[in-house]
Parts: sequence; structure tokens; C-alpha cells
Amino acid sequence: MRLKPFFNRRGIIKEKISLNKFGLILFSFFTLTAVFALHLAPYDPWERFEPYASPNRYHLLGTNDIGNDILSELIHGSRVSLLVGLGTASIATLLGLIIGLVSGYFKGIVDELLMGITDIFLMIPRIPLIIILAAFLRPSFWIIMLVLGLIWWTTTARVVRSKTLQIREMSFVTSSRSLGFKNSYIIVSDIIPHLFQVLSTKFMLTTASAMISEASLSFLGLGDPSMKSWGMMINFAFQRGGFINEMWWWYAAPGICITMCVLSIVSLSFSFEREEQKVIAGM
Amino acid sequence: MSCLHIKNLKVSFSTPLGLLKAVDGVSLDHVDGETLALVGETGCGKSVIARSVMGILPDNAVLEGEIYYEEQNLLKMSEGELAVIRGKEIGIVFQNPSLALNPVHSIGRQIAEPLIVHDRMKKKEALLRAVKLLEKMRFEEAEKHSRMFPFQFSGGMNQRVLIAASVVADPKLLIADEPTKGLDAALKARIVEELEIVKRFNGTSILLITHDFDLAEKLSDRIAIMYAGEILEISPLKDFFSQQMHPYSQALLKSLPDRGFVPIPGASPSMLNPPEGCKFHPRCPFMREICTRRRPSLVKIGGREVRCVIYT
Repeated sequence: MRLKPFFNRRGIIKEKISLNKFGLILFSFFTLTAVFALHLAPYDPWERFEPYASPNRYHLLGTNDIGNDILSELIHGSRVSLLVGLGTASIATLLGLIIGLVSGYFKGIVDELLMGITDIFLMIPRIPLIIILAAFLRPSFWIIMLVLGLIWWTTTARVVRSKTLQIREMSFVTSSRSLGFKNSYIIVSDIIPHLFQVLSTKFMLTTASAMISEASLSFLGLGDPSMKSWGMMINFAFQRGGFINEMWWWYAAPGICITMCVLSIVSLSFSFEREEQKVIAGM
Repeated sequence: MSCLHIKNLKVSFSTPLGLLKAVDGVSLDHVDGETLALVGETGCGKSVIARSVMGILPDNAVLEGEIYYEEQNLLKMSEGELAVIRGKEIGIVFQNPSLALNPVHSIGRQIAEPLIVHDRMKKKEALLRAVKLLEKMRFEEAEKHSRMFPFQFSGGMNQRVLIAASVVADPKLLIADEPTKGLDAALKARIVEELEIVKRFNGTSILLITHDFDLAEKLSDRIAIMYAGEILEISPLKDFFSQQMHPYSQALLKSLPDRGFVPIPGASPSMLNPPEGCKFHPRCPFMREICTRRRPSLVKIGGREVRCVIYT
């Protein structure tokens, strides 16, 4: 959110286009890397070479403590990081959409109940909960994804609820009701299309924060050791002598990747948000 | 046979200032196939009647009385039962057409929607029917226009689209709530033409709600004058324009630009605490002492009904 004042300055249009492109290019770069990881990586990330090698002709980013090629690890790591981010965001957005819609459309006692539950979930401290869960459950990235998704729907639900409350009072919804359409039909045909802007923004922001959380958890050693995510790479670099030996390429590369990837997603979502505001202002 | 039968309908809204009586004991018989115009000044409760028939009043409304549609009491129906009647049996055209259409769907789709939902028609077939209906309503380039969106249309075009969407499932009764509000004369003529087509081809009964006597004169068979939540006079169209019975009707017609332009003295009464007795008495030129005490009832004289002590 710190980036917002920067975006809101005058001369928005020029900034918007360049930022949009920046986000789009970077994000598609990371997505393509993840999809074609098998073809792009020079080696299997588990293949062993000479350990602690500095960057050289054969290993552009050197090798780690057990001799894995760091560039290959980095390329394969994008898969894990993006998967956790997108998976978490899908679960959270879907849950938030359903709960917010039902709550906002039907109002009354249903609304009170669902929003009460949302408030309870909002109070749960996320990272500590995951640390506790990770300590008791087997560290697996599927579990991280599921748990993050199951507690991060709250803000989406609230935003969707308030938007639904607003839309359900608009004339075209009354008009649909008087044409004799059922509630389920009105929700799908009249309400959900108007939530798209809110949902896409929320989805991306959730993706970005889930990626950061996954990296932090992995860095703390609570991640899945069998999956080479970017956070896990930094964790290994710090634990196994990368930091002490000043092998900066070992930990800086995944750090930069996390930052750039999250930044690209956030800037994309901001440009979506601004598009929405432009539409509202235009009307 | 009457298709819509409203019996002693009372609608009030609970507001922070007190109970607002929007409709105060309205009874109406709408005969099959006729067009009944409900005329009155802004805020007299015309639209509230339309909305009570459709069951789409806001949550703070309190309803009393009965509304029968073909022997079924609409006020006792559940939302699910009403959904079957809405659109298929009774259609409504709202004022502010540009807001009543969904901005994210194409015109054709919105006209076809009732067919897809009520008659379970295939989407392609329904879209074809929508285009045919637009052609029947003399819409230029119907095919091309059906693929456009409401924001690309003017208010008048949207109003015609809305009429098309309301009649596509062939309802027996169409409620038109100020269909010409905010439209210029040329567009008004198109709306009149369109409603006439609906009347002629489908035999639809129309409840026309308006404050425009021109429109009422062109379309309706009978005319009902409303004032402060009450009906003051119901007359066949020809009789009404040759001689108005109620003093309010007379004053209202005289206030029109082409009939004298004489304003009615005083202001419309507050709906929160309306005057005692006859609600029109503070502004009435024929006011007698009894008018301030007793509220007159609707009296039948010939084929007409009127609520005034002059006729009792």
C-alpha cells in the first residue's frame, strides 16, 4: 500500500501506461519461467556438482552447499512460489466471494452471522497461527497453501459484501426482480459481473501477500524442505554458510526474484484498480 | 372479468419523522384488455401502487388491503410464487430507463433474458426472438442495435428497449411507470407508438402511470385521478375530457399550458399529517364547512366514480 501516493500523483496517464507495461512484462516473464521451467533450467535442480562454486561459465549463479546449480533452483523455485501464491488466492477469493455475496445479498440474520464469523477470523494472527500449525503438522506446501487460503478470505468477503449491498439496490436489480428472475439467477447474471474489478484486484493482492508469507515461513525454516521455493533457498543460504562466506549471489538472486514478482503483481492490481476508478468517474 | 383488482390498499412507510401514508385506501378494478391511466402530481403515490403490485417496495413499507390478480392475492404470496407471476404475467416498465438496464450485458441479451429464464428457450433462439420484437417495434437496424450496450443508447432508446424486455414474455398486464418521463416530444411519440403496438398485437392490458394528460389521452380507455394517496375520480376517457367532475380534476386540467395555465393555489399536502376531512379542501374553490370534517367516499354516478361532497 505504500506505493499508492506515488501512483496518485498528477500525470497519471503516462505513469499508468508505463507501470501497467512494467507489471505485465515482469509478471508474464515469471509466469512463463514457471511454466517452461523444465526447458529453461540448464540442469536438474537436484543434480550435484562441485559445492560452493562462484558464478562461472557452467553455473551462471554458482552452486550451493551440496553442489546444486543455483540458477536451476531459482527457475524451478518460481513454480513453487507462484503456485502457493495463486493457490492461496484462489481459495481465499472463492471463499470470500461466496461468503460476501450471500451476506450482502440476503442481508438480515444471515449477514449478521456471516460477518460475525468474519470478524472472528480477522482477529486470528496469521503468521503465528501458521507457525504453530507448521510445528504440529508435517511441513508441506500444500498445507501452507490451504491454511493461508482458509484464513485470508476475510477482507475479500468484506469488500464483496459492501459492493453487493450497493449493487443489489440499483435499479437494474429491481428491474430483474420484476421480470421474475430468481435470486440465484440475479446473483450470477447481475451481481457477479459487477464484482469482477474488486475481485481481480483482491485476487492479485492476496497472491502477492501469500508469496511473501510463504517466503517468510520458509526463511524461518517452517517451509517444505522437499520443495525448492525462493524462501527455502534464502533459508539454506543463511544456514549453510552463504551469508558468512559473502556468496551474495546465493541469497540475493531469490530475494530479488521475490521482490520483483510481488512488485509486478501489485502494480498490475493497482492499474486494475485505477481502471475501475476511471470507469466510476466517467459515469 | 377483471384481471387486476385492488381492494382498499393502504401503504405506509415508517420514517424517522413518523408514519408516511403514501397510499390511503385505494380501490381499483382493471378490466381485461383495457388501458387505465393513473394520473396525479409527483409524490401522490402512483408509483407506490405499481411497486406494491410487483412486490418490490422497500423494507420499511407496511401494506394493508388486498391485491388480486386473477383471483390470487398477490400480497399473500411468497417471493418464489411471485417470481413466477412477475415478467410472465405482469410486466413493469420503470422510469429512469438507463438505470434499469444492466450496463454489462448487451441489449439483445437483456430482452431475451425473460424467454431464457421463464420459457427455458435456447439462447440463440431467444436472441432471434428479441431481434424480431425490436423489428416489430420499428427499431431501426434491430440486428445491429441488439449487439450494443445500454450506455451506447439514448434514454429514449433505452426506454423502448425496456418496454421490449417487459413484453417479450407476453405478459397479460403491463405496468408502465411514467414511461415518457424526461423524453422530448419526438421520443414520446415513439413510446406511444410502441405501447400501441403492444396493445394491438398482444391484447395486453396496460396500467399507465403518468402525470402527462397528453399521454393518457392518446393511450387510455379510462382515467383515474390521484391526489395525496387517494383516488378522487375515475371516468371513461371521453367523459373525463368533456366534463371533469371533481374540483381537483378541473383545476388540474386548467393548470395545463394549453388549457389556461391557471395554477392551483396552495401547496400539495404533507403525507405525514394530511389535512382532516377531504384532503383537497384547503385548496378547493368550492370548499364547504363539512369538507373540513368529513372525508367523502367514492360515489358511483353513471359509469363514473367521484369522491366529493358536491355529488352526495
